[in-house]
Amino acid sequence: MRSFFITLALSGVLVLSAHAQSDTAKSKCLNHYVGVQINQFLKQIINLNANQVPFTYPYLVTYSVNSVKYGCGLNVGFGYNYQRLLDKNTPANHETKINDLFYRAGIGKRCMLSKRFTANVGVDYLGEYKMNKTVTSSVVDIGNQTDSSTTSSVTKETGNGFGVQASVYFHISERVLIGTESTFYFMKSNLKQNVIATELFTDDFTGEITSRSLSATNTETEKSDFTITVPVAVFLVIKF
Amino acid sequence: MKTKLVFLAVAAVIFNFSSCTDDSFVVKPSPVNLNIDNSQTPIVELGRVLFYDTHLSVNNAISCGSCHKQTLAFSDNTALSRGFENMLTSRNAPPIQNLNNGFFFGSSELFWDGREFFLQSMVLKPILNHVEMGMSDMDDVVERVRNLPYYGDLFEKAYGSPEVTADLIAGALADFTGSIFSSSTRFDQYMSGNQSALTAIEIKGKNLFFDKYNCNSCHQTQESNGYQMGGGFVNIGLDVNYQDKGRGGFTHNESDDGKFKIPNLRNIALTAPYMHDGRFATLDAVLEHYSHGIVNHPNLDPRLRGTDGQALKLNISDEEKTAIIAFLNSLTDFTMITNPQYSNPFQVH
Repeated sequence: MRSFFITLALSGVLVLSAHAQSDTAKSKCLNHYVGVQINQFLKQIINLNANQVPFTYPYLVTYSVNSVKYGCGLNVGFGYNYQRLLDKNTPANHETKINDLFYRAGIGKRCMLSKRFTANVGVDYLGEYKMNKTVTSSVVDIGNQTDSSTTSSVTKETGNGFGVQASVYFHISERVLIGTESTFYFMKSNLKQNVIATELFTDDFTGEITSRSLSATNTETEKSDFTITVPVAVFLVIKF
Repeated sequence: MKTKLVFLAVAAVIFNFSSCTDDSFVVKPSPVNLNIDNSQTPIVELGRVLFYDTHLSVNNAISCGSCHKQTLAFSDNTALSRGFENMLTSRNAPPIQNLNNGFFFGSSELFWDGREFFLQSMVLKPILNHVEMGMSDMDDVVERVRNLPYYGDLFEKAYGSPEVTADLIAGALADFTGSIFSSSTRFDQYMSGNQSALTAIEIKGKNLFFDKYNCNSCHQTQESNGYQMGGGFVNIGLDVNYQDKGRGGFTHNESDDGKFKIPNLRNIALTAPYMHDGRFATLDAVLEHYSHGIVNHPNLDPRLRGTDGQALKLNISDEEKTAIIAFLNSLTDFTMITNPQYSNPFQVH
């Protein structure tokens, strides 16, 4: 289902884009806007305060295509985060791989507020897929026996939702815009966690090994929430 | 060209997802010994082993000691610590020290929002938190502890029976965390009459701290718990809108929004980053906040307002900042952070 939406969105973008190019010579009927979130970039070059709290907004790249005549169009957003973390917390070492994918697609209407300002309002379908896999291992010498444990935990969260967005852009030049957006989204998600731990006890004297499954936890939780994001994500947008 | 780029981007994402599902993990455990210290109270010793035992997290990944590190006065050197799956927790890990106020053992306002009053209940909360240690309930914790071979002896010595219960686990953890005590700073020596314990610049900083800027009206550094009981939550004008409402999130009273517990400044040099969300990396940044960064908020503490009702700008000079930081550095207790009785009993060979 997810791949269907992604394919549909990408296909729409490519089709609309191709159409626009063929018509450029005549009269332009579509405007394309490609945006990139630049909060971290701005923080690197302008640090106005000592606040170290990381800012996270799921959509790194946005794309809109709008009719020049009517302002109506399609909006899509995409964000992806991959992290690999290795920790040594005596007595256990653990390694985590995190993959988070966020996407949204919707329709909207763009209008000029003034010569320099543009606004866009729209409704979106949104989805997320997060996966976290952590492997932990430890070997503890207790005196007369050794306790070795290996644990694997996998957490998958999938979510779907919908909501409205509103954004405002300032035209730095004809082709370059800078803007921000506010969203009001409802998201329903399902979280599945699976933990499998295996423990081996080795008797130091006899060499006898006892194996035990320490825990095999399977949990599934569902949650739904409304989230309002204030306009703090800054996007640099190129219009073409 | 566009199609190629899109294809490459999608392929990269798919590759990363597949790498997450395979078993290409490189975790190599370092064998460790469990060293029991028989010189201290058996219940405290049991609490020490539990505090550092990663078996108390759902995937054996972390222990209480993973985020509360002895060398950092049992705080963490990151804004937000990471839980059992390396997900970020919601607040900065506060130091653990002088939590036992002596009269009512372990009775205090605990956590940044003061939502817990007793150490015995507080110590279980991170274990059952879905981001921190991830255990679903205390029955699972008890079952795990019961199945580990080294706990039978420890419970026998501590409680006279190898029987494991949630209350006994909580009691031992509370006894251990309550035993972590700091009383050997150079400032303590100065307050005890040793005038040479502080240098000239540290004394200058102390005078600025106590007199000119009256920091001590909140941070009562001469008290072991570092603040005045009953008045320990203040809004210091960090934000106009607080995403984390702090005390207000617990009391559901708007007048408490943005209020957080006044931290104990003992070992403050070791507990960076600062504030409930770790937003300030250095003490200099903290002083800069009080100097020029306090923002107005309806709940801003009256001590941080001027006579016109606006947020104060203390305008602390660079020279004064240096002196105050020198004084704050004199609050470091090297005895506490090196005391083997508080150390990790699981030691690498």
